[in-house]
Amino acid sequence: MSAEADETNTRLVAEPNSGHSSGAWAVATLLGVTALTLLYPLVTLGVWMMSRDYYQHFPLLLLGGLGLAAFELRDHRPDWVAVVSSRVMLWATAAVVATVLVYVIPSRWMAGAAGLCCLIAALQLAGGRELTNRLSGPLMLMVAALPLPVNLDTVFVVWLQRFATWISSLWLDLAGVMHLATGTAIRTAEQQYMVEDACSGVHSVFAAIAVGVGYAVLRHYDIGRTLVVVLQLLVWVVVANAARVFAMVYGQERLGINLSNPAYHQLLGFLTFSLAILLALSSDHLIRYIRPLELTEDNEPVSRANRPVNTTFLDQPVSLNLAGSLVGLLGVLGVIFGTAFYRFETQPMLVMPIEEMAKLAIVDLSAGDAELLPATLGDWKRVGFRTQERPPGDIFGGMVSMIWQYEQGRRRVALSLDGPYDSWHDLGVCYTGVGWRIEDRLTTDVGPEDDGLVACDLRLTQEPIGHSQVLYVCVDPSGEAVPPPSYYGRAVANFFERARTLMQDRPASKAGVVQLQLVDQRMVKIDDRDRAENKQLFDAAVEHLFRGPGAAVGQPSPGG
Amino acid sequence: MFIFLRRLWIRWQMRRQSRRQRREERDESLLTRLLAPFRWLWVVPQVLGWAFWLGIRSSLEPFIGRRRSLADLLWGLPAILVGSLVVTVTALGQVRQRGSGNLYLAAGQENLLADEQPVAQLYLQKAISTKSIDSRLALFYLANSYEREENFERADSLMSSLAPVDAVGFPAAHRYMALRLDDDAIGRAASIDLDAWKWHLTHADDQSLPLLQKAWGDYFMLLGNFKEALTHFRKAAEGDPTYLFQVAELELRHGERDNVRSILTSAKERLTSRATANPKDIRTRLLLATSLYHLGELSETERLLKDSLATGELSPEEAADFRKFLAAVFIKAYDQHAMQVGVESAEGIAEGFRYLQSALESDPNSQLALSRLAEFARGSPAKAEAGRQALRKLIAGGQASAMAHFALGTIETVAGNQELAMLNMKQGLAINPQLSVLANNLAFLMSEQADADLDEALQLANQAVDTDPKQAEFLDTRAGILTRQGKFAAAAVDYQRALELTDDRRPYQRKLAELYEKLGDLELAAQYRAASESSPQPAARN
Repeated sequence: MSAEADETNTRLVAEPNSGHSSGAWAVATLLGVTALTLLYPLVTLGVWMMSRDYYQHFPLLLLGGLGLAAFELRDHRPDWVAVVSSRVMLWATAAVVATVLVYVIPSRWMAGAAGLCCLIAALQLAGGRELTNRLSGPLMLMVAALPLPVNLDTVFVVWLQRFATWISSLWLDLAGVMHLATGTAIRTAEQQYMVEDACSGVHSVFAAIAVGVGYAVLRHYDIGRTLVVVLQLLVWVVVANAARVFAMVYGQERLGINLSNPAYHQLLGFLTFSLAILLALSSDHLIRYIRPLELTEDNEPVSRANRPVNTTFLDQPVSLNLAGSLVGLLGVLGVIFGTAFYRFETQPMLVMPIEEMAKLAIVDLSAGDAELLPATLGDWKRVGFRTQERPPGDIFGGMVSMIWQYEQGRRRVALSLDGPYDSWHDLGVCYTGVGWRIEDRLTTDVGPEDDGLVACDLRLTQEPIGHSQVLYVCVDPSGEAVPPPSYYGRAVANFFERARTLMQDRPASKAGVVQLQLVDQRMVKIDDRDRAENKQLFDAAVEHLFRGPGAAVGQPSPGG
Repeated sequence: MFIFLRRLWIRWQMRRQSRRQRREERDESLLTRLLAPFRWLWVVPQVLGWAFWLGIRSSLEPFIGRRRSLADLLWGLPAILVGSLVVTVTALGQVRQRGSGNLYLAAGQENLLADEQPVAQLYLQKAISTKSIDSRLALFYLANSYEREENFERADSLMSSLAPVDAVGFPAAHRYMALRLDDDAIGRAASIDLDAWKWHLTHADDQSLPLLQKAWGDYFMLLGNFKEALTHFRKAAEGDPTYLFQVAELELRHGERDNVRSILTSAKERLTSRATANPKDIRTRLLLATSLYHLGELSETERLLKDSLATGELSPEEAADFRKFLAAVFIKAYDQHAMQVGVESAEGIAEGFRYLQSALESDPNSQLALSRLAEFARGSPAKAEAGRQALRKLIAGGQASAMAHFALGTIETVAGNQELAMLNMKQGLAINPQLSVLANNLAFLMSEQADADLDEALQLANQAVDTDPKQAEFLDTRAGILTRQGKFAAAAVDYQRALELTDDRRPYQRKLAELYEKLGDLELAAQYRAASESSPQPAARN
């Protein structure tokens, strides 16, 4: 390469006293615009997280990260030399692509990932790998502040509930306490113990992740060791929750001590969580004994922050032309794709209180009126009715359920009107939580033809014996059907849809959704003829409640 | 292309030449040269092995080459202890849970017998989930538990799964299904799947069980094979004397009256010993009374039934059945008296009336007793007069005054003495307001008068209906009064209820048709009329 060429491809390394290059400013501008674009989705993500009890600690993690970063920067003041390297461009590209996905998928969760990419790109630009490595601790805290992909938290929580229930069931059998564990419920001859959210450790699990990452950052652990800390902490939290469930059942059944009393319950929760943390600390020491830390000459643990940086080709500066072209291309493509496939919907900033939703619902859920459904529906005869209050934290959600029993010959099924919900309600998760396994999930049209009401048809099984068919449909306050999301259906056929939906926001709908479900629970497999009869009954109930000339709830309730 | 191939050729030649040169320089042996093409066979594994060793060494290096702190080990001891404890306890729990199938099965059985069905179901489900027992047995008990809970849908579906048609299945479940179909056959014989029934009967266990033999008997009865049915009922009766009645019935069908008597005598003897052994067995007492009744030992029957009623251990339904039976005993006694002594003379009438009075005291709505009472009135004037005399004597003697007034009222009604009839009815009702049949008849009489006081008649009709709301005749009387009052809608309600309670539907359907014509619903009226024409005649009563 000639000297002239060298001159042309000016290295975009600004001398300390010569200011930053125009390429660096271009990248900085791109990142600034990207950050501005992310502002609203990030705020809504934050509001959503604050509405979930188990994510309310995230501001502490962010503040902790910022504080730690400030200390690091105070102790090791960087040179602040802007270098537009390939690494910067890669992170900037990731930030732009993720930002576009925020609006295309659409996904508030993706805004968190895009924000992190943007931040890392900015750090790489401002201080290169050295600065990024030095701030790896605060960055890990920020990663820990991210929620699980939006629809995964419930599934993860239910899985942990079931796991804790299974372990405590084994311990109870060893202790000779006769019981039956199904899903998240433990039944004894005396009573039923539901392993509710708090008990199964939703709070403690997410809190444990935060504590684990914070501990690892303070210890200057690398990413691998941080992951090990978090994993073993999760194991201990599950064990501690199993111990809590065991203690509650054993205490009641054998010692006559009611530990489900709120005061005892809280105390037990605190004790078990503390025990889990202490045991995790102990395990960490053990792991450090088995695989000791690498130490510097000063006996300090070697970490990304104090390890010498080996530069690679990715850290080489790129030419002004290339940087300018890439920035321009990214900007243009981002705008084109973002506007062409724009699907972002304005989500409500605050979650409406359930009482407010109940006022909007198309049915007066507090009325408890058995006559909402007629005495006979086709060949089916109403033989029972009851209402069931749903306390906060109930795995089936909502506030109340009106449950009718219908009989035809020797067959008996239940129709239940539940709600209110803020959007489409996934009953699959609820039934999985109480011990059912989803065998198949289908959709089917219900109600009058051409009405567009789409219902879900769940086929469930339960150990040791149990088969069930659940048909359900969601209806919003204006009487419109709330369709199931696009991923709903058979797992294999919808694999990509499912993967996308893990990050996707729920479809926007009017809060105050009610759900009508038909449950046919059997001991043996349900044959096609009975399924068809169930469908007929469900059709008739949907038509009676939501459609047809004499619809029981044809008009929105006052205030709707 | 040619140039490219040429270059490749030259390169290959050059490589060959250089290899030859190297070999000459190394002065390789012939063997080495011969094996040269196969060198990769050991060189490649050697290289891979070396790479693997390096990988292992570098992976193990952090575990081996770094300095350990004893403090870390000490701090890690709690985790080792607790972790070991958790793993051990969990593993032991798993072993215990897998082996606890029989424990839960036994507990399930115990609770099943103790009628603690929810608990039994819980334990039996757990027993099945352990997968360490024959799940069919647990499923069978589970089905039994649901059956006892009267959740027949679950019980039947479980039993069907255990005892499929065209498969051997679980014999005890076949027995259940056979007995279930036997129950279903009562009243729904046409809808029974006979092939399935036979399959279950054939594959059921415990063939000597009287209930199962009875089911076989019912099966053959349905097929019209009375000989086979008799054989199975006899087998059933060997174990349970209650089935002797089915045997007697079939023998009677064959005209073997002598056999019937000996069977009934046998039934009496066996049921007597059973009733003595278990005095609280109500069913046995009832069946013993039945055998005594058919053997004509009426005073013994009366004593047995009265003793049973006096114990106070009967439920209201059972007591009602016993009283009806007692009324039947008195009616039979009356019939025997009428046949042997006659009811022509005043003495004969007085004696016969006492039987009917006892029958009506036991069952005030006994149609058989009432119809025999009415026979006094429908007889010759001389017989009616003799009846009058006997009844007045009874009233004057302070015996059976309410019933005697009722009988007198009936005689006067038939004789056309409406005022005397009403007077006696009123007196009878005043003495015993619980005599609903009296209230009903009086209401009917009053409503038939030319200047009838319909309000008072309605009041009496209401009294009769309130006392016994399931008597179609009482509802009919009240509906007639309401019709006369022009209250067609209310009358239609009573006729409709009477229609639901009676076998003879046609008169009510005709009346309802007339009422709905008056009410303006001509289509419904037409429906009632059409139904009245297609309604079956009621079966003749004995």
